[in-house]
Parts: sequence; C-alpha cells; structure tokens
Amino acid sequence: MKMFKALIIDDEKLARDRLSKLLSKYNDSIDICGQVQNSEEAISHINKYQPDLLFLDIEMPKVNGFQLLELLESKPLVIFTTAYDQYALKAFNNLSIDYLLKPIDEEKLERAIKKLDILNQKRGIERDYSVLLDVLTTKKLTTLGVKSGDKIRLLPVSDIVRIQSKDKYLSAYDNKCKEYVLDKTLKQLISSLPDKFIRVHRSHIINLDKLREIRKTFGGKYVLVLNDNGLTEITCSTSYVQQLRKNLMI
Amino acid sequence: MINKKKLHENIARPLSLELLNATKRYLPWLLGISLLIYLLTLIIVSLSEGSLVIPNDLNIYVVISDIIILPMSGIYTSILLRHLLVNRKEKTLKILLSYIVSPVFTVLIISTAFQFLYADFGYVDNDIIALGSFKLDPLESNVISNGFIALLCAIPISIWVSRLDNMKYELVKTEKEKETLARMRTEAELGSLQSRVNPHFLFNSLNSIASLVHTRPDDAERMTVGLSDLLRYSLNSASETMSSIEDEINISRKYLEIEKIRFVNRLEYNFDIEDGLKRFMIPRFLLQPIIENAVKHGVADNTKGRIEILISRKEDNILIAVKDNGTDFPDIIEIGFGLNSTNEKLRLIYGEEADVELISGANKQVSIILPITEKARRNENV
Repeated sequence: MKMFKALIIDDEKLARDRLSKLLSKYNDSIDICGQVQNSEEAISHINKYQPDLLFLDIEMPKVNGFQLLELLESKPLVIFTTAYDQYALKAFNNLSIDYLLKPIDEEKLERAIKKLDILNQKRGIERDYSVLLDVLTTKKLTTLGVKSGDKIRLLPVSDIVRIQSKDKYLSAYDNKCKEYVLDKTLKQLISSLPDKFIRVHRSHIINLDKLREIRKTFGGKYVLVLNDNGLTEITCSTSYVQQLRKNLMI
Repeated sequence: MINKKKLHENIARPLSLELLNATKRYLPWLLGISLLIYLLTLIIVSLSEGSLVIPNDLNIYVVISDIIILPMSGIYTSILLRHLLVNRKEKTLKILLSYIVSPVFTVLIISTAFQFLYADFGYVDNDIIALGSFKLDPLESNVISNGFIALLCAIPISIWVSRLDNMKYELVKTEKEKETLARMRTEAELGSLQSRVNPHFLFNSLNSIASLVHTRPDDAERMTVGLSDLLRYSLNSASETMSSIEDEINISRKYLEIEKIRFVNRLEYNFDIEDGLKRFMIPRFLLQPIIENAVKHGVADNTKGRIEILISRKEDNILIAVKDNGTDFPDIIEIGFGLNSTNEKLRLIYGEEADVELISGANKQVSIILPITEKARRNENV
C-alpha cells in the first residue's frame, strides 16, 4: 500500500489528539505530517508539505472546511470529520465523499483508510467540491441580522412582509411598515430566503404568508394587497405574473 | 407554497354566500334610489298640478321593482360569471351558455317574485305602465327580452363589480381561527425550540471525552458528569417554560466547565448577578445558547477567551448581557442555531416586550432585555 502523507485539520486539540492516536495504528500507510487548528495554518502547511490526504473538520471559525477546499489550488484526497451536520451529510452521500462522524468509530476509520488506494487511482478525476459550498447557502435563513451603527438587531424572516431594493441596499418592512435596512443585494438574499418569499417585481419581494388579497385590474395586472398596517399595494410585473400564479395555484 | 386545500377553501366561497353578500350590499342602495325616484316623481307631478296628487299610473311597487330588477340581475349575473370563471373547470361553451342563461334566469326569478308580491297586495293589473323602459307582464311572459336587457345591463355592472372586488381572494382566515392556529403554533414552536442542547456541541463533547479518557481520565470523568447534567436539564425541561435565574446560571456554569476542558484552559468566565435576582423566572435554556455563541465566536482564536455574564435589573426590566473579548460581529452576519432559537423563544413568550441586540465594538456583547412579568414578581416574594 502506498504511504499517504496526511494532515489533520481541526480547531479542537482533543479531537486532533484522538484522531492521530487512532491513526497511529496505520503507520504503515498513513504518515501524519502535521496537525493544524485552523484554515489559515492549513493553507501554509499544505503549500509547504504537499500532503496527499486531509482529515478535515467542517465547522471551524472564520474559514470552514468547505471554504478551505475552495482556496486550495490542487486538492489532496479528503476525509471529512464532523460532529453533526445534516445538510453536509446529505451532500456527502450524494457525492459519495468519505466522511467520519465524531466521536470517530475505529471500524469506520479502517474502512475509510482501506478505500484510500482506490480513491487515489481516481485522483486524476478532480472532484468538484464546490458543490459543498452550496450546502452552506441552501440552509434557509430564519433570522436576519439588521445592522444599525454598532448594534445588530435580529429580525425573524417570518416577520418580513416585503423587501424592496433601493439603489445600493435593501429595505425590509414588517407588518407595522417599519423599515429595516439590509446591507445585501436582492440576488444574494433571494437564494437563502424561504420559498414563501417570491419576487413579484424587479425590485420587490413579498412574503406570501402576508398576502391579504389579490385584485386583478382590467388591464390584466395583479395588484397585491399586503397584510400590513398600511395595506400596502404592489403591482406584480407582467414578467413575474406567471410565477405568482404558479405559487398561488390560480 | 400555499397549501392547496387552504387556497381552494378561500377562493371558492360558496355561491350562495356571495349572492347573499351582494344582495346585502346593493339592495339597500337600489331601494333607496327607487324610493327617491318615486318621491321625486310625486313631487314633480304634484308641483305641476299645484296640489298633492298621486297619479293612477304611478305605483310604488312597480317603481321599486323596475329600478331594482335590472341592476340586481346584472349583479347576480356577474357573480355567476365570476364563479364560473374562477372555477376554471367549466368549458368555454358552458361559460357562454351561462352568460346568456343566467341573466334570463335571474330576471325570471326576480320578476316572478315581485309579481307574487303585487298579487298579494292586489296591484296586478294588465295595464300597468312601468316607469322603467320595459313592462313586467307575467301573462305575456316577456322574460326572454327582459333577460336580454339584463344581459346588456350585466356587462357594465360586472365591470363595476369587478373593479370593486373581482378576483379578491380572502387569504386570511377568520379572526377566531387565526387565534387558535396562532396559539397552537406557539405551543408547538416553544416545544421544539425549548431546551435543545446543540447537537454539534453534544457530539463534539463526546468526542473530547473519548480522547481524554486515556490521557486525562479525571477530566473525562468531570466532563461526562457535566454533560449528563446538561442533558438532564434539557430533557426535564420539556414541561417547563420558565426557570429561575439561579438554575440557568448553574447549568451555564456546567456548560462552561465542559468548554474549558475542551479548549484546554483557553477560556475564562465570570458571572456578575445583581443581588435579589436569582429567584426571578426567565425562559428556560435562554442563557446557555447565548453563552455558547460567545464561546464559539469569541474564543475561536489562540488567545485567551473571556466571557462575562452580567444580569441586572433596571426598573421593570431584567438586563442580561453576555460579553466576550473576541472579534466584532461580522457585517454580514449569519444568525446561527443559538441566537435564532433565543430570539424566537423570547418573541413567543414576551411578544414585542423583549429585545435582543448584538453590539460590536469595545463593549462587544449580546444583550437581552426582558420585562419582569407578574409571575416572576410573585416568585420574588417567596
């Protein structure tokens, strides 16, 4: 069996210790060339020692495991280690990527190591780990942080009645028509908002749960009346009508 | 995506209800208008005659019926039409048919009804000359042509009605239903939010124990006991919404001790609680997730992390501040598990009266303001 130069990346020392202890059993095939505690250290280590294999923790402060992989030019083999991440596990299973759940089970570790040779042969086929980054963004937002000066207020997404894009920022409004300025673009936001938020206009997103009624004008346009204090009315642009009808099944 | 069944219920209001609503809405107006016309005619005739005269051919019932029949049939027709159009299952032919049939039908019904009315009052007379543009004569049964006029009438009226409320889907349930739903939701949500130990923390701690058991068995033991207490507190709390500040502090301490072992003494903490507050009730598992958040983001780097928990009273509010010496909150902040559940929990329990703020800068902290409720106050005197 080929000798693999391995790097352990985990922000918790105890986790690194345990893994390297478990790996010491396989010192005929795994040579631990280092242990690092964050992604920055990992990058400089990888550039210097060119390991063949990474044991990579996903949740790390600042730059997480997936983001780290994105930053690497040539990607070594990776075995992810994670305590609990339902979204990531789903992605791993879909992509048949190797992962170990913490606390790490010795048998599963053995299986993963035995598979390394086979994986190594396929190494020419670069794995597309970028899909994993999407995992992070598919987590739907439940609360938005709204910045004002040094303070950040929390705004539950379900409270938002509508969102309007203005020149360089977004404004979210609650049912009292109070405005919250968001430092994001509509494009950034819409992908992480729950499905009940739909776009009805180039610069308007509404929350379907806060829709009070729809009026159809004689020009065939839909006027959406929202359930807020001011019964705000927004006209659905023609290009979004189809989507709106689909969402409401009308 | 809105539930299909719910939407169906809301859009397809029963036809009978819509007809009734329309009657309630427009009939009084039309009655008023026809009475006005009757009186005006009376006044004009009387003025021209010089004395109060009730002309033989001016019958109040006929005036009223004539003024009412056409617009009402128009309104009914437009409702029928709308109903057919909204429930799109109908074929075009059927729609066209009903477009012709329904005005005729409604005129037939209304005029028959009025004829009966006249008959009861003994006013039916073959020579009646109606004030309106057409005669009502059950014997000649001019219903089809009346229906045609009603159809012509229905077009502008249906446009008018459409303006007012066409395609108006009531997406909101009645107030009472809404209240019940909201209460059920609150209970369910609180149940799911309450007192969950972050699974990430749980499994990471178990991993740490597995590591420590060989090297530092005493620490492994302490950690196992601490983790058990934390889990027990979280499991027992299923039935309780509130907890005393004292209990909350104790459990947070256990949590911090575990983290202290995991981070190999890279962590320091301090509690500062104003006297007399320990018995106050606050939402259960409020403190720990915020402290966990501070640990995660504050003690990330190699430096020594410091967490400070301050609880004080200001008039009718309890202020809880969890400070850490980590880097500022990022500009585009991702609200994680802990803060999210804290915020939701507070809103479900206190509504608008509680508040959470994240403050960056030298005084970096998560601060929570809670109202002192009656229940909490009673507890104070125990």
